[in-house]
Amino acid sequence: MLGLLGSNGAGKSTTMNILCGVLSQTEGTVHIDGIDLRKHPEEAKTRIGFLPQNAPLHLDLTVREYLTYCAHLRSINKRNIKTAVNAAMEKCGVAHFRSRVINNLSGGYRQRVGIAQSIIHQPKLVVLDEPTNGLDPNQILEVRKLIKEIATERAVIFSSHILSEVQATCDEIRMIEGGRMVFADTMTAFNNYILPNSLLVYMDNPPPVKTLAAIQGINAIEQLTDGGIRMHFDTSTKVSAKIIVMAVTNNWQLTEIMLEKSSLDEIFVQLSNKTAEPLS
Amino acid sequence: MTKILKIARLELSILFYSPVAWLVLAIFMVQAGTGFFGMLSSFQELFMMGEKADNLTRMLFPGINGLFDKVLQTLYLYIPLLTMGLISRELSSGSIKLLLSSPVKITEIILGKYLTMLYYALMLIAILGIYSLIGVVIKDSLLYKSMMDRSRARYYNRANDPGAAFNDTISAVLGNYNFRRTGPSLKKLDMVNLDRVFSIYKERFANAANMAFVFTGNIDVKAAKPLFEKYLGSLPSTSTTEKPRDLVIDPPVGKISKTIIKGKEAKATVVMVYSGKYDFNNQNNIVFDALQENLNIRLIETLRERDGSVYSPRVDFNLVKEPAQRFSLTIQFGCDPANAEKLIASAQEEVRRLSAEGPQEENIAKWKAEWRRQRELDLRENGWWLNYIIRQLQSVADVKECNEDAKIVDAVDTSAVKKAAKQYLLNGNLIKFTLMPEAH
Repeated sequence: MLGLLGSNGAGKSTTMNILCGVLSQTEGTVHIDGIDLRKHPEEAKTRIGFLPQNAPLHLDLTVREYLTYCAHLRSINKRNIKTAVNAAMEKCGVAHFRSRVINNLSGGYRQRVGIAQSIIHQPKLVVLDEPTNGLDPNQILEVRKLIKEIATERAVIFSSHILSEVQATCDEIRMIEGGRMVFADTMTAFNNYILPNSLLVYMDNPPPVKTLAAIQGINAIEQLTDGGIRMHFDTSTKVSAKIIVMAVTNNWQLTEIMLEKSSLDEIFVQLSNKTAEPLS
Repeated sequence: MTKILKIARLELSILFYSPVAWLVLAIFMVQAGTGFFGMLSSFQELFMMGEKADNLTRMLFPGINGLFDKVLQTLYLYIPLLTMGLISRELSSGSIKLLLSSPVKITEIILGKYLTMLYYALMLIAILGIYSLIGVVIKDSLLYKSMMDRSRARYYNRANDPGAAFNDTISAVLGNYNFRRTGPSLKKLDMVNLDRVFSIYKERFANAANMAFVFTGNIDVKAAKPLFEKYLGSLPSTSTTEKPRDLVIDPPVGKISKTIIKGKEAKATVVMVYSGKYDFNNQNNIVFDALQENLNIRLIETLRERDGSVYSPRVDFNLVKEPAQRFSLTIQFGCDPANAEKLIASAQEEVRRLSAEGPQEENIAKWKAEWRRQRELDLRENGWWLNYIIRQLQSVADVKECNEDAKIVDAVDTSAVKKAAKQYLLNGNLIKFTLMPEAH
C-alpha cells in the first residue's frame, strides 16, 4: 500500500489520472505490471482499478445495475459477471443496498460503491484518489478499514492531503509538491524523518537558560516568553523525562510540557527545499 | 462488441431517466400526428372533389411531401437536443473517467453512443409506424357519399349516350332481363348501402381458403416456396369451401330482332349474336377457333371488299364451361344506316354458305399458318402462360393439354369446320341488334 501525499494542487490527481490512462502524459512512460500503457492500453487497463476524486457513478442506476455495467466495461467474462458483482458488493458492504438507486445513498456508501467498481475485476493495482474526501469521521474510519482490507490482496495506491491518514494506512509513502517528488521511502523512514525534535515547556519558576542548555541531548534553547522555553533536542535521548525529573527536584514549577510535531506544510516546505528530484 | 452494446444500453436508459427523451418523443408524436392527419384530410378533400389517387400509401409515407419527408424537415431540431449531452454529460459528471480507465477503445465509446441515437431514431420511426395502422379499411361515409354523387352524375346522362344505351340493351336481352345483366341506373344506385358494401368487402377478404395463386416466370421454386408459405400461407382463411351457384342466366332462344334509335350521328351499328349449347373440350374449341377465323375472312371479303360499305366487320366468340357449357359467336359491324338491312342479309348469307359449302381450303391453310405463328409467340410470353394456366384451373382441365393443340390443329379440315358451322350457326338462335340514328 502506497500513499501519495501532497498538498492541494501538488499534482496527485494528475499523476493518478495519467497512471490510469485518463490523461495522456506529455513525457515519460507508464508501465502497469510491465505493460506499456500507451502501447497496449487495453491490456494494461484490465490490470487497474481506478476511483477518481469524484466517484464516476451513474446516479440513476441501482448499485447492481451500475456494477454490472462496470463489470462489462472491465472485460469480465459474461458467465462470471454475476459472481463478480456479488463479490464486490459483499466486500464493500453494499450488498444490502443492491437494489437501491445510487442517488439515494449517503456519501460513505457512494464511496463504497466507487471502491467496489474499482475492484470488481480483481485488478493487480487499485488507484484511489482521495477516497475519504468529504466523509464524516466515522465513514472515514470505515472506508480506511476497507482500503486496508483490499490492500491485503492487491497493490493499492492511495492519495491524500492529510498526513495522519497516510500515516495510519500506508506502508510506503511518496510525497509530491509542485509536480515533483520530494520524498520516497517507507512509512517508517518517513516517521523517523518527521519525528518531533523540539519541546515546548512552560514553567512558573524557570531556571537560567544555561542550566537547561547543559542537559544532555539538548541542542539549542529559545526563550519565547518569561516562562515559555522551546528546547531543540537530539532524537536519541529521552529528554522529556529528564526535564520532568529535574523540574520536580529543583522546584521549577512545571505547568506544561509538549512535544512539537512538525505540521505537514512545514514538512513540505522542508522537503521541497531539501530535495528537488524530478518526479519519476 | 458487447461493450458497445452495453454502453449503448446504459446511455439509452440514462436518456429515458431524464425527461428530455420523453418530451422529444411526445412533441414529435404530436407534430407527426398533426402533419399526418392534415395530409389525410387534404386527400379526403381531393377525393370528394373527384380526384383519384393511385398508390395512396406511397403518397402518404415515402413520397415527396409524404410523412417521412415532413418528418425529415423537423428532425434536425430534435436530434441535436439528444446528441449534445452524449459526451459532455460524461465529462461534467466525471463518469468519463470510468470509461477512460476501463479497457475500452474510444471507438467503442463513440459507436456505443451512436448506437443509442440509432435506437432512439428507430423509436421515432416506430411512432410513424403507428400511423400506418390507420391504413386499415375504414368506412368513410363522407367519401362514400361523394363517390355516389359522382356516379349519380355519370348515370344521369347514361340514357342519352347512344353507345351506352345500345350496350345496356344488348346485355339486358342476352341476360334475359335478369337484374344482374341490366345496365347501371340511378334506381340501382339508390339501392347501394354502405354497410352492405363494407360487409361484402370484409367477407371477400376475410377468407383466402378458396383462392388459387398462379405465378409464371423464371422462378426458383426452392427459393420461392418458403416465401409463398410465409406470405400466402399467413393470409386469413377458414376451412369452408365455396361453391359457385348457377343463376341460370342464358340468352333467349329463337330469333329476336331489336332496333334502338338513338343519337344523331349518321351511322348504324349492327351486332348479331349466335348462341347455344356446346360441348366444351379442347378439340371443339380449336375447331371453333377455325370457324371464327374462316367466317371473319369471308365477311371481310364480302361485306367490306365486295359491298364496300362496312368499316370493318368483326367476329368474336366466347366459349364457357361453367356454369353451363355454352358458346356464343358475335358478328359486329358499323355501316351506313341505309345499308344496314342489306348487310345483315349478306352476313347471314355468308353464314349459310359457310355451313353449306364449307370453308375454302386456302383459308384453312391460312388459319393454320396464323395459328402456328401466334402460338410460337405465345409460348414465350409469361402473360399467355398465366392466362392459360388460370383457364385450365378454372375449367378443371389438364394443364398439359396445350401439348396436343398442334396435333389437333393439323387435323382440322374443311369438313370439320363445315360441320361446326352447321351445328352452331344454324341452330335457329339468332339475336340481332341494330343501333340507328334518330334522323333516319
